[in-house]
Amino acid sequence: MLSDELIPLLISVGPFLVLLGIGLTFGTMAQQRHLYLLDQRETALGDMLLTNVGNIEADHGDLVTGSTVVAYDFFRRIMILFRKLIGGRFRMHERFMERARREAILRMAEDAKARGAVAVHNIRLVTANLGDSGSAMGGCEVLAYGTAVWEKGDPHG
Amino acid sequence: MSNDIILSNMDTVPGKTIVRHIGMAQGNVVRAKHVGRDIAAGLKNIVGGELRGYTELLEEARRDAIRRMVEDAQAQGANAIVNVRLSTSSVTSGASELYAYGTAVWVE
Repeated sequence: MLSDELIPLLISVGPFLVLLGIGLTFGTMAQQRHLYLLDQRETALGDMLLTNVGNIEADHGDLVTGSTVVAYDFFRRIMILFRKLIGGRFRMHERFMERARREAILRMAEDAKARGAVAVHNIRLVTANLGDSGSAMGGCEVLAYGTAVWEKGDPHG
Repeated sequence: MSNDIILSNMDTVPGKTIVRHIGMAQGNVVRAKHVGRDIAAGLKNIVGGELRGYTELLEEARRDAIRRMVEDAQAQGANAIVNVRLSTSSVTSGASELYAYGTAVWVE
């Protein structure tokens, strides 16, 4: 009978397919929502000046940081395994890292804005791999830091 | 980040003049995950996205590293740190090192 072979097959492959489905659905949903929120927050930030130029003349400055730790969903992690066989650009990874970087920069800029700064200069971006996903400390950390500056005459933040 | 010492990751401190360079100031922290957070992060690994527990963990650790750097600078008699650099590395699986360093200076 066909079902005799089908059921063990489903039992062995089933959970994997379910995880793939969950990863694909929720991962894509989360990505879309995140991109939408990023756009909104970047608009809300207004005319905050972000540069990576050092030696800026200003009245007062202080260090600000923003960071995020991100991980792939199950579906994308499997797709990357396939991509490793074929080679080429990891477009998925590019989009993913870009999202994480925007988030880290936004957090830094929002921190600066909340403290009344008008600009952040000398921004540095650092990416660190925290070990394999799924292992003890999976994921990838993106950190943005820079010197927030206040306009002349402003009270010190 | 701290009221009594000025941090800047530029060569200078905005609005101040560096009178004297004192020397390197550094601070590091190695933090390991903890089980509760790791389980949550394990679940999150299926869905993907931000691992909020780890973000908080590393933010905390980074604040500690910066605080230690500030203490190091104060011990050397500085009132500001310039050219601050921050880095993260995974030393062993399950633990990360946060490292902050800069040049302790006296500004006026």
